[in-house]
Amino acid sequence: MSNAPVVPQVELVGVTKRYGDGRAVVDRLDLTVLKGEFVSLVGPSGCGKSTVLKLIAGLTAATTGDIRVDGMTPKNARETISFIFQDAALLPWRTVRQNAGLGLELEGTSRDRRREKSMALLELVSLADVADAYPRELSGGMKMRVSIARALATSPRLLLMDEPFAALDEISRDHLNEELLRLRAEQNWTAVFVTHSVAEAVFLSTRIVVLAPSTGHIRAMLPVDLPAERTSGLRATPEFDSVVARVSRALREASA
Amino acid sequence: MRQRLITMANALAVFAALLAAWQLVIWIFQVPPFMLPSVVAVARAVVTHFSSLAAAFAITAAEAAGGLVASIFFGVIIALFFAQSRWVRRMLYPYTLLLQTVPIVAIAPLILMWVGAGPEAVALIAFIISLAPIIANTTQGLISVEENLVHLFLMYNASRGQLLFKLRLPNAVPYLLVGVRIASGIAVIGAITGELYAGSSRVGKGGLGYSILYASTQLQTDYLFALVLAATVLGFGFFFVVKVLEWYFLHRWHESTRTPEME
Repeated sequence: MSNAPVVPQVELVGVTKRYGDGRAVVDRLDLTVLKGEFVSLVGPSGCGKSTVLKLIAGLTAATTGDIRVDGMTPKNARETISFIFQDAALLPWRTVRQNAGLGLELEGTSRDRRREKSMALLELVSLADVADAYPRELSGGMKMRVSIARALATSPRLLLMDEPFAALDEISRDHLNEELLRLRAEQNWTAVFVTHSVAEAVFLSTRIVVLAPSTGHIRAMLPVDLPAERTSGLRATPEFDSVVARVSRALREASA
Repeated sequence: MRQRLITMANALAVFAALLAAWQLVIWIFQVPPFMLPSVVAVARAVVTHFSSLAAAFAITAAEAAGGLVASIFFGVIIALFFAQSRWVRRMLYPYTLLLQTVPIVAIAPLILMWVGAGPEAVALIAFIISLAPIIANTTQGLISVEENLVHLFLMYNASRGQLLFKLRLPNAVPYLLVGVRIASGIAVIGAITGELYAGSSRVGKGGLGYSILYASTQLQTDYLFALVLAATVLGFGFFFVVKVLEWYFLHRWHESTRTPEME
């Protein structure tokens, strides 16, 4: 990962987002995410983290400024992006396999190819044995894994994740963090990740961006110099703790 | 299962108590049969008039079912149209309220004038008064889709048709079924009321409503009660069919059909 070419995957230049009442939720934001990076956005509630993701996805339009994804406008780049929502966003009337194949289906992939691909992805997130179950039968962690399988099924180059594990208990969350890193090592996508949890951000990221409250300004940009190969044992090391302490301090200063 | 049996036994006990009270009232107050026939007399009327009772039942059932199926068909189409834009809804929604508030007894003579007396007129009346809950519920289901799910579909560049048929319509199914449940009761009432005005005038060819009217003018109070009983059974029958439909469409995935064992 360290000697990946320095090519921007996402570029935001002077991006401002105002609501109807004129209040800026993101104010003149400049942010570049390089190919292969895993960037986490952390900040207090209401700092515009989720809005930044929606801007990159083209789900909301910037008031001013320029956004490029893979050199394209967000809407044109959608085929290269997958979005993972906080509440898993599964269709309750579809089985796990049909949910995992939703993206492929909407993109017009043939039934056989869809079936094959979604089963392979469910295999990868160890859900193959519940492929015919409906979402209501799954735990929160399992639902999130279906959501991840669906996101990866369309072979994205960029993964946008909006607090995907916020509603889960700590054990499931840690487990899914490790799974996410394993999948990333295999598939090599770029990620922009929004979270409240500093420890989660440190464990996952190559870089952490701390946002200031209510303006969407960048208060700190912290590279995470931990080994690229990360396992659950990393959380118990002093190096990990020191990065967490550094990010926490930056977050406190940003909120002050 | 045991719980269910107890509930059913309780309901039957209430029913038996009501019948006993009915019979007691007749004995104590010496009520003449043309005012209130005895339980036994009604039971006898059911047996002796069974063929005409069954014929009337079948006619009314067909009229109500025809009206209900038509209101589901057209109601869903109208709701799909309403779901297209807030502007369309604001412009046309007040007119569906009109459907709900117009008194059926007031328009029945008009319908009689336009299409003539008979089962078609009655089905039309059942259709008109059962349409509003279908439109209202289905529209609600089509538009109350979680924002995240709409965003998810947008991320896959979903077409308008895909959004409608793969997201909004499946989301509306539970709402539609609630609408059908309400509409089914109204359709039966509409058919029976409609027959009072627009039922066939040929004796022996009318449905329950027409027969009720006829029995009351003939002071055949025991047969009248038998007809009311048949109308109640018809209402229950519709309710049961709708319940089966709900189970069929929802039992695999919807929260409302979740059994405690699954927790």
